[in-house]
Amino acid sequence: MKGIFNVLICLLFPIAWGALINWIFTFLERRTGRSTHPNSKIDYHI
Amino acid sequence: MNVDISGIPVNILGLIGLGCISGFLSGFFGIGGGPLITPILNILFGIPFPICIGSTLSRTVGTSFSTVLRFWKFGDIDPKLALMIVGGNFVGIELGVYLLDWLDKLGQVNVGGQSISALQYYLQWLFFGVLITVSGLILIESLIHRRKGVHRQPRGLLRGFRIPPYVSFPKIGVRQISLPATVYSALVIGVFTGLLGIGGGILFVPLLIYGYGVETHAAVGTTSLIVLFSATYGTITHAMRGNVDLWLVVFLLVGSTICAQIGVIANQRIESDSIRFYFAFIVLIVAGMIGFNLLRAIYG
Repeated sequence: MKGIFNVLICLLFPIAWGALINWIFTFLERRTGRSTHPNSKIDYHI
Repeated sequence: MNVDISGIPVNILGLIGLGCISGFLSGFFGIGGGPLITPILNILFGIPFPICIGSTLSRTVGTSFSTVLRFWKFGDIDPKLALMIVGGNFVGIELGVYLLDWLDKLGQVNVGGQSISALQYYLQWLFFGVLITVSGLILIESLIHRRKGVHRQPRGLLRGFRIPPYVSFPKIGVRQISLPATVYSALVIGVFTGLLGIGGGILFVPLLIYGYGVETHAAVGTTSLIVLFSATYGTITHAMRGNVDLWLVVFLLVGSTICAQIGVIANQRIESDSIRFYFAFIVLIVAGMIGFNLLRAIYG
């Protein structure tokens, strides 16, 4: 049971983490209207 | 003049010299030098593999920090991509360290009529395989490049995966890529980082360029931040198992700090095609050293 739980964590954590970071960066870019990339000239304001 | 590293007397000047060679390589080729230093520390100085791996990762934290600052100034780092894939990468590192522990528990194997450490034997084969593959791929790539003459930005093999959700990194040339393909490929590289102490220039840069289709400068810059994260996490995980020797880290860092600048100067005077060719040649020499050591173990 513990083994299955560990495998699930290994499979789901990377996706959850990636999705969370993507959401945070998208939120910041829309909120501020600026790209989070250093040296960027793209305007993200919608 | 010796220093005691996990019960083995090691010559200090030899360590500084090896640090110097690794520093020159990192300045010259823009890589950390981990895949080359770790087996050399083991073969030439007789330091156990787990100590070599943990200490090399710790040294990488120091060297990659200054690289990150330099690339950040040029705007070559994409923090979103780096942060997004470290989650999967950390899981991979944990799996790699777990595999290392498992190999250590295997004890001894009988090779060529003599009993040697299973960890030592299997890790040397793994290093040999990785280094031969990497040098072969670099040689093929540089030959293709020479024949075509013009460098074209690869489209990115992993962009072909159609598994949602999708993410985009417009500033570094990636319009749309599958999130699972992105994070699981970083997880696989994490296994190599935890198990062998490698990952940066030798695995992540090719993944970003040929796998994700990231522009070359951004790939190298973003890799430096990923390496800083993964080396820090790898150092903590290995340190908790007692695999980091501070003296080893200090002497390697002293040598590499001094000689990195010489490597950078040498880099400016040689064409990039020749640099890749020399790099493949050096990787082949180290692979040859490991191969010779393995043959000696098998045939006595």
